[in-house]
Amino acid sequence: MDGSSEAPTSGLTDGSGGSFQGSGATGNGSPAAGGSSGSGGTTNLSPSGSGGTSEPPPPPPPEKELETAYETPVATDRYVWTANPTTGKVALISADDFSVRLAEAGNAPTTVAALPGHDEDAAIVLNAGSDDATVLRLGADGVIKSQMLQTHAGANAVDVSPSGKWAVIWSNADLEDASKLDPTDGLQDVTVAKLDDDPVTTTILTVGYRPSAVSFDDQEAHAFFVTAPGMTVIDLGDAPHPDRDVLLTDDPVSDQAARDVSVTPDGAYAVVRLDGQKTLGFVDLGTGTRDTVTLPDYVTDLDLSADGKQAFAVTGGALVVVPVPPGDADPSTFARASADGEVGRSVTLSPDTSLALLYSNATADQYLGILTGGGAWSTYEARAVDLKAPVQAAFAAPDGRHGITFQTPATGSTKEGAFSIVSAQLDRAPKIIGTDAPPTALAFASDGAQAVITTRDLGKARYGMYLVELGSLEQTFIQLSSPPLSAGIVGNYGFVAQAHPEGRITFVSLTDASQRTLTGFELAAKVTQ
Amino acid sequence: MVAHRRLTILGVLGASLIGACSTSNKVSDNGLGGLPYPGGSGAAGGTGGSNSTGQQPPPPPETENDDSYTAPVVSGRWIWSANPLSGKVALIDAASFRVTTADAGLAPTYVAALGTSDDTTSSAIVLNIGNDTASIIHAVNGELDVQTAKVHPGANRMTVSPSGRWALVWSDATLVNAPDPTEGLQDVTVLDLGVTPAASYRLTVGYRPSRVSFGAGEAHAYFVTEPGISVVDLPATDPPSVSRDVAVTANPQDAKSVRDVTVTPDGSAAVVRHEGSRIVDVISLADGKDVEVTLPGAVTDLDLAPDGKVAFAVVRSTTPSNGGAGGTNGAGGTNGAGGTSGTSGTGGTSGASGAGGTSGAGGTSGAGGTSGAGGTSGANAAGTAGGLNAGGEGDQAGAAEGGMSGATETGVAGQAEAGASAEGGAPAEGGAPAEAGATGNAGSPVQSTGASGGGPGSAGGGGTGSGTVTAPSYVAALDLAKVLKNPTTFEQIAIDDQVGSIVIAPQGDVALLYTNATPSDHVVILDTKSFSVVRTVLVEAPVKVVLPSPDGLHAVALLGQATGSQKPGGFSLIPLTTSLAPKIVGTDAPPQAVAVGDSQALVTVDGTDPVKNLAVHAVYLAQLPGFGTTRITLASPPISAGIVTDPAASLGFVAQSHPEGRITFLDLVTGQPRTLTGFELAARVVQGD
Repeated sequence: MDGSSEAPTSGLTDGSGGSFQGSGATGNGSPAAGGSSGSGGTTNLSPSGSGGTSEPPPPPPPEKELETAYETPVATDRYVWTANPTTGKVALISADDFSVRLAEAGNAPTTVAALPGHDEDAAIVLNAGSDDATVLRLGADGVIKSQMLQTHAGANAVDVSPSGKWAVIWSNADLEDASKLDPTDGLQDVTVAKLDDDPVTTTILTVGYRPSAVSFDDQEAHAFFVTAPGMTVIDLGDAPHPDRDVLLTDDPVSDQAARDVSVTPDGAYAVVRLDGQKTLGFVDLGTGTRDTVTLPDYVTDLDLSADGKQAFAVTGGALVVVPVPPGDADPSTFARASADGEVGRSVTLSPDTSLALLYSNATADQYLGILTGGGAWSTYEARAVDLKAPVQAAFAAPDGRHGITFQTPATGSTKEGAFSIVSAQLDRAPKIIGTDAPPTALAFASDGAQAVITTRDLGKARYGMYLVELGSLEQTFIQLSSPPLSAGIVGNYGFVAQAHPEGRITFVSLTDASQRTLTGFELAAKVTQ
Repeated sequence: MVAHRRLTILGVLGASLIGACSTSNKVSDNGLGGLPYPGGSGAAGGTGGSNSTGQQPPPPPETENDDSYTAPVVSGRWIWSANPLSGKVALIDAASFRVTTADAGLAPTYVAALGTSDDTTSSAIVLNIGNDTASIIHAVNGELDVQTAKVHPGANRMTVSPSGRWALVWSDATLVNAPDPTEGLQDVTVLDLGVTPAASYRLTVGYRPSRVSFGAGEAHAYFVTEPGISVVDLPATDPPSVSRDVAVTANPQDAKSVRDVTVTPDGSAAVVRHEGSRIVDVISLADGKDVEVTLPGAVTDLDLAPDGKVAFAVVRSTTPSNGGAGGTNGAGGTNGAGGTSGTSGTGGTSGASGAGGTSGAGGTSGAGGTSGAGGTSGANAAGTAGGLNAGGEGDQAGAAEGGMSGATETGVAGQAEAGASAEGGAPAEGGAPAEAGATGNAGSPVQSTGASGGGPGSAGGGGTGSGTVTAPSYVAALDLAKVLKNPTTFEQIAIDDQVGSIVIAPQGDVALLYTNATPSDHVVILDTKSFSVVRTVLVEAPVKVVLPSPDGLHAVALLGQATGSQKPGGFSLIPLTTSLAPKIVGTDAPPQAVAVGDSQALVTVDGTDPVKNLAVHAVYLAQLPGFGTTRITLASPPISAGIVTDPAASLGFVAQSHPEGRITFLDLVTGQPRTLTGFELAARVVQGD
């Protein structure tokens, strides 16, 4: 969702933070498998079940949204915040001179989120062992001030509003061990922190059963929790409180697991997609009114433009652009875009929606559709490329000029994973790189010129990072000594925080790929320059 | 560097390993054997014939033979040689046999000469695959100066521009053992050798590059990759960069079917052949325009004329040609009526064959066209179709002369040019009764594309015999500039033989057609200027590869084992511009490498004599045009052969596998050998380092 910063997880268990084990992808990578376009991956946008009176084909298996599992920024403009659950400390590392400052957090600080929009560098960290959170601010005097906040029990996620005024601390069931969750564990408690109060004030509220996502509107007047029954709208005023619950579909009982909900930035509408359905739902969050648009084929993915005025739906292997709200528009007039040779079922858009990457991870599909358009997408250019290994996730660079995909091993491959660098430019071939460990995290530079990718295989103790120059499609591999936890870009450096009892972080210059690793930076005597 | 082509099987690292190029692999496997042969007779063409349903299983693809890139290189009078085991590079003066060595990097393997050499100076670049570096070596009066440049990891190929300014270092998947599917080998290093020290630039090209060439003026380089062509800009002062990738297919799923991509020397166009497809794509590299040219059948080979303006595409017949008993000819050819442009009848008749074979009658022409004249007869002769050009005026074709009896040659069908109001060619006279064994082929229809009017005529009548090529092969000449405007505008002739490969001589107007997908002993000589068949020669053993001499006057064919022969292989020396017979030489080991000059050819053999069960290492020196051959025994397995034609040292040489280095020089006139061994040992050489 737009408008919030997800806090990264720092756990070490393989499979968390978005590794690919057990994704369950099936199939042989035929781009036409299960689609309506037939063999050869042509841009057949006809409704499924073409052939007239025959039974329509069953819906395709659901796609997996994996991109957010890899993006874990913990950096502000010049600093990197990193927490050590073992020691209870949080380190603030300067990317200018690699100086390290330490601060005490609570018991087992685990999840860190940077706080934007403040005069000083600030972060909030969830302490998993003490049901509280710590707000840390770096003063002008270079001293870190901290404030402890009482939270509800079991919090494991924090989302911060774009201005940094609000932090919503909640419990995400996806981050829990499902086998240990009782059906009566609704995880309905949330803690809302008002960060521009001094001291920070918190309010514990109740939302619907099993919240799965949260977002803020542009004005930061409301927070929207997607829950099993629908959506809980939180009023963020002087006294934050749940304002209303909104039903998102006609059958909230049956639709829960299959629901994909996006909220427009102005908080006016929720756009709802259901797996196995050909309809898109548009819910007026003010009135609760629900409207639907029926498309010719199953809608397999959905994304909103940054301004929330367009919904990009993937249906029948093509991208369809639906205005939000659709009003009485005829679906046959919606702009459609597709790429020969790829029946995409998932889409990733660049922030300005000029670049769309079409792929499918429900089956082992090694092809990627690269579409460039813009505006209403009435005209576009498209091509499909063969990336040689099944695509699991795709990421568009902030400037919309390149993309990166994460991939599982190709048939017959001895590699553990792969990633590819693709250009939006029509006449540039992709670059495919096999990796000795699965890719686990990705961070783009804000200008889209570089990216950092980490790879991790705990079983074989293979850890590494790639510095990627997007313009030239070049990559540089740096081997790491410890499992990477998170990656980011701060200033002129890419960095990877790693699991180490005393703390370890590696900085790589974006200019010349020179490296500096700080280890034991929690013990002043052992900081390594 | 001497402008000759060499086919080399490599013995890298001192051992007779699988050669570097895929063809080397195939050729070095039991020499030139190992291909599956249809039927059981083993005769060229076998017992042939269709099965009862008329269907033949498709033959395997033709095998491409690439030039060697790891053998010692000749530059003027100098020979550069790298030893991956010792890490040394040796420079040998062929005039004085003086040897100078220098240390290169780890495992120097691939050598290329830089620019031109003179009596005192020479330069080369060596790719050291062991430590990802390149050594740039300049020699002055035999003294060596070495610079080192870093290249990308895994580099294993090197291509140097003609001027020596640029060296493109890249990675060839065929040299990588079982590359992972995600190993795209897309990294390339561009070395600018025009500055000191050499500047190294890392670039990314498309997936699995397979070939690279320089455009005219060396302003661009073109990497042929699986998805298309990566165009690398080589500015005079700015850093090189990849400007674009030109896709050869719109649908990425079709990329795997691409078999051949050839870029014209001026970089204006690319020609794409797809395995098993009758479609040839011609792509303008300037604007990406892509036209599809449809040919009569699956295109099995494609080659460019030396000037790059015409591409010759071969469509292989689906039925094997026959050796052995003579073939039958069809009835006299007639043309369709009312041709408005030069279309045509065919004429072509076949030569007589078999006992009592007679030549066929010539075809007649329709209005506006001319026919091929009656073919020739001759002992063991096979007629070939006359060629026709679409459109234009033409002359009456006369009867072709018969071939010589006793020679394994074919009679040439009369040549005709389409034109107006030509009379039909007179029937050819039958030659002397031929011995059985030749093939009489029916003249086949000639198609002139772009012309309307009378349809193709049928074959001329002729002698009898058994075995018939029921479906011809075709050769199409695609004028690329014209085809890009109209993909139906091209010339095409039918070949009454099964040919699937083509090689074009660097000079002259001659091309050679053959097939190595089936055991065929036919080599068809094609005049590329008149676009007509000159003749077909029989070389009595399965053809593996044919290499023309630089001047286009001769060719050397490397041969497999003939049916019933005790010889594991052989070679044939073929005159291309006369009607003299080819010379066939059986060898006691399979041919390994060949170097062809204008006046001599060297053929190395390596293996085990099947009769004596002894190791055989030897080289044959053949004189051109006399065809005298001399066999010289070698002490070690040959790796590669070359010819030095510098006036100061007119020698042939054979590099051999030896831990300390061994090379045998041959006097090209007398064949007198002189062998240098251990030229890397300080006691035997003048050190340059």
